[in-house]
Amino acid sequence: MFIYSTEEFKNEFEKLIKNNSYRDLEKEIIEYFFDKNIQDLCSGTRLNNSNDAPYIKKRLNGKGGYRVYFYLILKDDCLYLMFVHPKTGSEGSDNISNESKALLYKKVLECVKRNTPFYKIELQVFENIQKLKFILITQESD
Amino acid sequence: MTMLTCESNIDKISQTFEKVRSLSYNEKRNFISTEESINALLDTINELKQSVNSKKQTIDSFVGILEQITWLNDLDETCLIKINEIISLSRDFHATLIRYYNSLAENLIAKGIARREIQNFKLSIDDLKEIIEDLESVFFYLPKMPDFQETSRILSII
Repeated sequence: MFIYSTEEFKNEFEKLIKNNSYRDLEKEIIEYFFDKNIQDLCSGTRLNNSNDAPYIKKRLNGKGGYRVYFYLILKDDCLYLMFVHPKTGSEGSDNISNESKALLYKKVLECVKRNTPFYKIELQVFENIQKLKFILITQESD
Repeated sequence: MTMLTCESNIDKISQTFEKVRSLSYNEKRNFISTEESINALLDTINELKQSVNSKKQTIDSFVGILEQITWLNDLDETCLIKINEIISLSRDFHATLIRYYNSLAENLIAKGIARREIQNFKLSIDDLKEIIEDLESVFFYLPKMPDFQETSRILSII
């Protein structure tokens, strides 16, 4: 399965992992999304009423809990991580608005259409710890 | 004179003996009853922790059930009416849980009793509030947002 990321997800993720309170986020993302069958990821709250390409909000545990928004394309065996936010702490928030949910959806559409740069995410091991590596994909590199 | 002093001493010693006997006995009795009281208090706290944890598990399970509703397809008007009722009843359930949480927080958290359990319970109550909002989003707000529907339409044909 291929895992991609929007600019929004990458920015938010990189901001959060610099904060010591959210140091478990990377591990939570890796454990939930990597080395999984795409069908196993069809859980959580489905926002778009689509079976083939569900837009999902998933609750991840970890300290205080995180919310991850992602878009699965079953036929292409891939997913786009769209946004993440913690529930608690200095960067925590209860929920995002309907307008934000719609905007994230629109942004993933631009990525799927290859109209905007996005990232492929791979795992790399650094000092025996698995880390996410974001590889920029542009129209030229695709 | 010497005889009188001796009798007086014996009286005093006897009084002291009675005093210490009474003190010692009562202290032993009280010590046992304090230990029992502490045990009873600890039992009550443990029962409270178990009750709070059990409520938390019930909420977590219910949140999972509500999430599964978002994976249902081909919902007609009757289904949407039922979902709207589920949302209303869930809000009522949430309000009751918040009242219970406030009572626990006011009376126990400040005293450091069952703090972790009560805080975890609150996180689950917040999850319930969140899924209620999300159900409204999924079934009643997002479907009415032209931008959202247009994005869905285009993605479905790519």
